[in-house]
Amino acid sequence: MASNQTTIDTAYKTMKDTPREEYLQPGSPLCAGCGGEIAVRLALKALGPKTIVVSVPGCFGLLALYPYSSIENSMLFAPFASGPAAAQGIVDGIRIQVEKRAMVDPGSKVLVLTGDGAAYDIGLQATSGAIHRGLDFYYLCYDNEAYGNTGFQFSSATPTGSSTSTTAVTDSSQGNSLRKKNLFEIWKAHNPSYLATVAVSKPVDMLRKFEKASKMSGSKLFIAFSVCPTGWRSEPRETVKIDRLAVETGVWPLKESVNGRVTHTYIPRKRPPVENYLKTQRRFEHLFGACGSEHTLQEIQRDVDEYWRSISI
Amino acid sequence: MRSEIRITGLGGQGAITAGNILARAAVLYEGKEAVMTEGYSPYVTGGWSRADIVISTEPIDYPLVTKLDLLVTMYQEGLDLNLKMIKGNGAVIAEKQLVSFSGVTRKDLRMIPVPATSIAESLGRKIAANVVLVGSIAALVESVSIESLKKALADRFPKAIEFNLKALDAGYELASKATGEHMEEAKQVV
Amino acid sequence: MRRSGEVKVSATTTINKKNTSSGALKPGTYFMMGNFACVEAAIMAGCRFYAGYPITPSSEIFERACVRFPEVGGSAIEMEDEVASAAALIGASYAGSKAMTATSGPGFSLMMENIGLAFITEAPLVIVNVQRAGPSTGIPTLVGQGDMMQARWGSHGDLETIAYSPSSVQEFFDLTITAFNTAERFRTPVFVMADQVIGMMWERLKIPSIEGVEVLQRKVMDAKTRAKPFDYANDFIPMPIVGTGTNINVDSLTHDYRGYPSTDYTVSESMIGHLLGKIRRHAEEIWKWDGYLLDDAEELVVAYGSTARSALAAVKQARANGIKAGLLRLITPWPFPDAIIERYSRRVHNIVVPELNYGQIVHPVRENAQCPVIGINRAPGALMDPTTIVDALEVVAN
Repeated sequence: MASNQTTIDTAYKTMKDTPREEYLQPGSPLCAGCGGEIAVRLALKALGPKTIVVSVPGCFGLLALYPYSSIENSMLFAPFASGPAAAQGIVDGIRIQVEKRAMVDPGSKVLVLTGDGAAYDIGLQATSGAIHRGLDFYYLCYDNEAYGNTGFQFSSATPTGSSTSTTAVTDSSQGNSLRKKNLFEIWKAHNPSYLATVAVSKPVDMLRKFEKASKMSGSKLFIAFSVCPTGWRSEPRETVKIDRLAVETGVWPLKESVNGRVTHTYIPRKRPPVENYLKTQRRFEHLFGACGSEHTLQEIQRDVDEYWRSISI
Repeated sequence: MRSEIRITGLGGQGAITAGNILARAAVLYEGKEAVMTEGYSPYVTGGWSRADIVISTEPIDYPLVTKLDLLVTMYQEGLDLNLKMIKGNGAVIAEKQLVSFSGVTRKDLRMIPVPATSIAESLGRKIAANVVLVGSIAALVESVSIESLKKALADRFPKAIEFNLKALDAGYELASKATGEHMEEAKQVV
Repeated sequence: MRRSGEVKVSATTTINKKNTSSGALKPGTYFMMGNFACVEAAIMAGCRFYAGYPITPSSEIFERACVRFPEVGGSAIEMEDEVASAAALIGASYAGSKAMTATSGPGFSLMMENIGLAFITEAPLVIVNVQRAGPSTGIPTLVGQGDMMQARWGSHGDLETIAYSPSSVQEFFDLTITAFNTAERFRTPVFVMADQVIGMMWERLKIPSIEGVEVLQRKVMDAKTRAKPFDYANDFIPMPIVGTGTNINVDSLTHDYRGYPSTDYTVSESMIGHLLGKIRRHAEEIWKWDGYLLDDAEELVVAYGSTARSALAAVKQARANGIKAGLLRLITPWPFPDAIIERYSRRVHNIVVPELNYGQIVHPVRENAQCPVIGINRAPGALMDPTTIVDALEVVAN
């Protein structure tokens, strides 16, 4: 795995080093092929048993559905806009208990787990406040680029050209015309201790990022590319393949920011055309074919090319 | 006259579409009153879904089903769980390949197995199994005629009407000819 | 949670019918889902701005608006949350547009501050609440009637609110048009308190021809007149529209007739007096209710929304059982039709109020009734079985 990093000391050299312990059991009611589930599974392995999860409305609210509750960690459910705020309470509450000697430091980690709806839209404010206060917590956003749980409506994480149930393809519209919000840059501007994008087709990269973050205190934020067969209308069995295409075509850059300094942990050598990735999902099908939107396709490719051009040294 | 029908299946089997066609036919083409309500399991995909239809000649007060005249099911649990809701001498239409009547202890029900999936498959597309079942429903349901159903079907599938009409007819033929216990009584009670 | 595919197909099936020049669907008989009917009514009422946010079981309204509103020259945008949606409506309203959104319990809670703002700034707008089981996240996909008091008192301070409770797809359509007219006339936010059953059910819908539908527009202030933007002596003040040269200040602080904030006690009195009075003085014109077998009723059922359908079946059954039951269906729970309740309460032995909550509308009923009032309360999550109401009638009748 080529990168522009010097060799680092890590417990995760290959996939074989993936921790065996499972905190996400099989049998959840999540959709077949859910990319976000793979990300959460790996994250929980990396974070270990003493992780308290703060969940908000979204697909992963379903993890608590009995008798299919497959997550082993304690979970607190917070309002849509307030995951990080609830996390603040948990972290401070434990600290107070420890100071009062009512509790021995449990060594717990708090993980806010939200979709892109909460992270990019309704909960952006709360994350802003939490990072600003230097809250010692983890945030994992499973980014499936829309509000999945309520029927795949547009969010500000929806990429250009994607159809959703509120940016439907009609005679006068080719799906979403806005660009995906750059959450990485928004969070980065708050100067968190650690910030990274991750993808399930690069599990070792993800594990190493959690490992690195766990050595720091302060806000540690992750955005996980989450293939959503139900909303994207792709084949459930192709999730990891699609994830890999997103990384290889350059649509989903893998990078980290440590105290404001950004490094790309994987740079695709030869980026295949973005089309190869877009064609795997029916949410982009209107961009192709006889009445396809060549213009939008070019715009998407241009944006990707522009990104990689701008970061090259 | 008020009749209550439940159509239930697993995600993707098209229970809701079937129910919509039936109720639409009753309202727009039979001039009757009808209410359709939907039910889902909590899963976004793959769980069960159902369409409950009340058809009446009078304005409908309570819109939900309490005692079914007809249950149409495309999966086993759909039969097992809803059996007790069927009124005395009611009817059941079930997807033959996926539902077995062997566990049914009630003696009063008219049970019609329909190999809807294989009929649809033989016509060209497995996915039209629900339309085959709608055809079967027409054979048992007096309040909605096959003609009205054809019009409702055309509304729903304007681009594939030929194929869907074949599926509808196949289901209708099969159920009309169904024999067996209680079938000698008037087929149309609903 | 529901399947995204199903809704889209159904939406386009009806849209394929050619529209009239107003953008409304052609008059005729349709078979439609309640949530869809609401959008068509809004278009017929002339609404062209929708700011929304997804929330079950109202998302179908938003999704259809996203297709239909641009078709008729309007716009529908998705905001970052419900606070923003409600705020956007006020902006659109002050820019001269009829504006609406749809939500459910948790979103309704988030909108409360802006509802107060719309009230104090006298901004016409329509908020549809497709109620679900609460409290909190509750059961997103199942029916509830737990937001009724919140519709009246959810926002802080003194407000007078107007709410309509549809009991059928047809009513959801008709009352949405009425809601817009009421909002325009009274320059105030108006709620359509539907619920999951009404929103998601499919029924016959008669769409009238637009010529036969009364559509009201707000009185707009002529900028040249330099009139008082908040003339508290007048119940129906013409609305100053931004961008027309009116040079007004629209304030959320308590304000005087010029629109400027004031801590003067007389201003507080006169402003609130106007805001409440404009509705209270015309409450009887706003009231809507429906009766079934009221003439000789001895036991009265007072119900609203989808529970009224259970109540209707129950009243018929009770009559068959020998109880002289009648149904008074509240179509406007707010402003509460106190005089109507008072009048009928004198003629019956008891009133029962079935609700899918643990007692909300029963309180103003009891406050105004001259006879005993008994609540029939059930947790949200399922439509009330008519036998529950029949049993209660049996008990009170004996």
